[in-house]
Amino acid sequence: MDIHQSEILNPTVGWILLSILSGLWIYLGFYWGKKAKNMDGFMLAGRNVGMAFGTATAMATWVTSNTTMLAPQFALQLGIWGMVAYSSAAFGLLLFAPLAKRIKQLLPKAFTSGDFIRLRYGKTTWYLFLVISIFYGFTWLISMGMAGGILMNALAGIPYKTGMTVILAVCVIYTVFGGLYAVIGTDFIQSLIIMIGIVVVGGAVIFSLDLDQVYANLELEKPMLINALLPASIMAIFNNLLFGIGEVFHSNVWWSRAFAMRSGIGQKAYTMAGFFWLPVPIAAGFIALTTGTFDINITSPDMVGPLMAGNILGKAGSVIVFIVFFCSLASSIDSLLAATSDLIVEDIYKKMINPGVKEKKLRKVSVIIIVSLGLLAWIVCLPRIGTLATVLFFAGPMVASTIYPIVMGLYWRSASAKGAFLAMSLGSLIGLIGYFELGWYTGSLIGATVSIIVTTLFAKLNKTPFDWAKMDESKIISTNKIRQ
Amino acid sequence: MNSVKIIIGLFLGITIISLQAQSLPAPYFIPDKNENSETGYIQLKWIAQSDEDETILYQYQLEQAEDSGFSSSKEIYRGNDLASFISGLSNGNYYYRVRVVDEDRKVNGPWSATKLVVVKHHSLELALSLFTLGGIVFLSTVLIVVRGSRKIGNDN
Repeated sequence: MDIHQSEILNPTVGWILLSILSGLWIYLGFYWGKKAKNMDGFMLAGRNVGMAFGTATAMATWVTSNTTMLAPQFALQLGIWGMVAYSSAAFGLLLFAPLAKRIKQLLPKAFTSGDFIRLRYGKTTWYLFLVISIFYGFTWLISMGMAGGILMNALAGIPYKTGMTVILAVCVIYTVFGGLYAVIGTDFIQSLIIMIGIVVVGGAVIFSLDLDQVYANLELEKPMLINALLPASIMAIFNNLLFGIGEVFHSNVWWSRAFAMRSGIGQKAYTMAGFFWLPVPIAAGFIALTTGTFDINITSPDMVGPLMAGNILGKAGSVIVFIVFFCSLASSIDSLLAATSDLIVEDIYKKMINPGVKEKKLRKVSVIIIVSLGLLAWIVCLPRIGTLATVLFFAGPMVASTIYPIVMGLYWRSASAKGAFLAMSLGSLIGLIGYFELGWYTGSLIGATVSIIVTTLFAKLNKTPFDWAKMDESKIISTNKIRQ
Repeated sequence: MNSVKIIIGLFLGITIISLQAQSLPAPYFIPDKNENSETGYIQLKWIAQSDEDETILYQYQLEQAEDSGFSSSKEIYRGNDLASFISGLSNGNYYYRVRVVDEDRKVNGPWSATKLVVVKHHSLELALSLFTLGGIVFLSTVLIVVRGSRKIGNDN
């Protein structure tokens, strides 16, 4: 059933914008794709990304449609603390900064986060990690696809299924042709547009509003949104923070960038990206609190961001909002497609199915995987089940459970394979129980708590410290050759 | 004679208005049952019979009250949308009803069945316990990262 939400832009204008942006992004995919001469180029942009592009890609990828659409949803559902809860995800980038340096040092020739888990903990834990990581990547991809459809529908009345199809198709096409060069290159442009757009939109919103009126309206109509003791929002704060940390720590989206950046760049780039990102969800979330002041009906909470921005700024502003939101979507969908396909290609196809595969064939397989992921996401997005928050946070317990096996695995010789495996399984399971029994805003916290206890306990009991030399696969191969 | 004409005119007017009102369908909520909320927010969805074939776009009026008799109700929404997301509600019972309105002819259709939403927030004790737990886990994570980085830096 279509719940019908009154749109702001004329659908013809929406289609024109969509066509221009789509054409431009596909062209850029072709243009940058020429640089990818081998798999290092296609998957990791030659392992030579500098500071500017490194910071831009980290920031742009983290400014997803979730930032521009889920942050307002948080504010509308959970009030002031909801907004703050969302921005706490910046800690994911900030804490990953030193990890990026350690990853580059420990695994100079690796391709994926799966490589780390396989070398550090062995195959059993690796298989479980792959299930979690691919499932999460796919869930995120679905939330992006849904967001694309919701955005086009909210702003320009383009039917949800059509908008969702177009955004997924465009991202698949330029990722297929350009690989990580295209992803990072377009991220740089997208991050500039996003930052300028957020400043323009944020500034326009502040100047259009009488803050006293906004407060008075909230006090009268939605009092719990400005109540510092709204229980659900208090529960959401650390849940969202730990979800953010889990997302960044485990996902190949971030590991591939850490591998792609030149030595010495990763830590600085991620730190800067974290600070640049921090105010974005606050700016985006704030506008959701003005729905009552402007007397705008919201049919679904995940539509509140684009709808409010469009209504406050009028038609001209809606064009800016459309472009900013398109960029935030594209910058994340492409990263997800690239990183998830890398994980499947490297860890499953190359390591498990066809170890002797030639590079040319591997590139073809990458293309097939990217297209398949896009198609599968499209099928799941079609019925539009749930809202952005409920879809995304379903993966929360699983990703949060990976935090401690990863961070302790990078720094502690005593972290054990058994501990890592149990931390991820029990953390996921108990976290999911919390998700269903208590609410979507608790699962990640519960998963992370179980994970830290289990990983630490088994580390304390472990009598066999790990040898870091085992992490450099090229040395292991060379040693085996010498022995032969 | 004039008074008879006035009475007949009034009678005909009331009859016409009643007939016009009856021709407007009665909407219903989806799902058509009472709901609970532990968060203070709820999405209300509705549809009128004829909307199901999507050829007619009705105008709706949605009302909220804190008593089932709607003695002190307020209008939440008026427009063509088929849903409304309501948030920030305090603990309590909230009654909703919706009807089709025709602003051009100034007639209103019949009200839907009343939907009751009971808001009872999670306990503050539970929320603060989870908050404290989250704080401990977060600070432990920061400690692991900071100490780990320093140790590796010193080893190098």
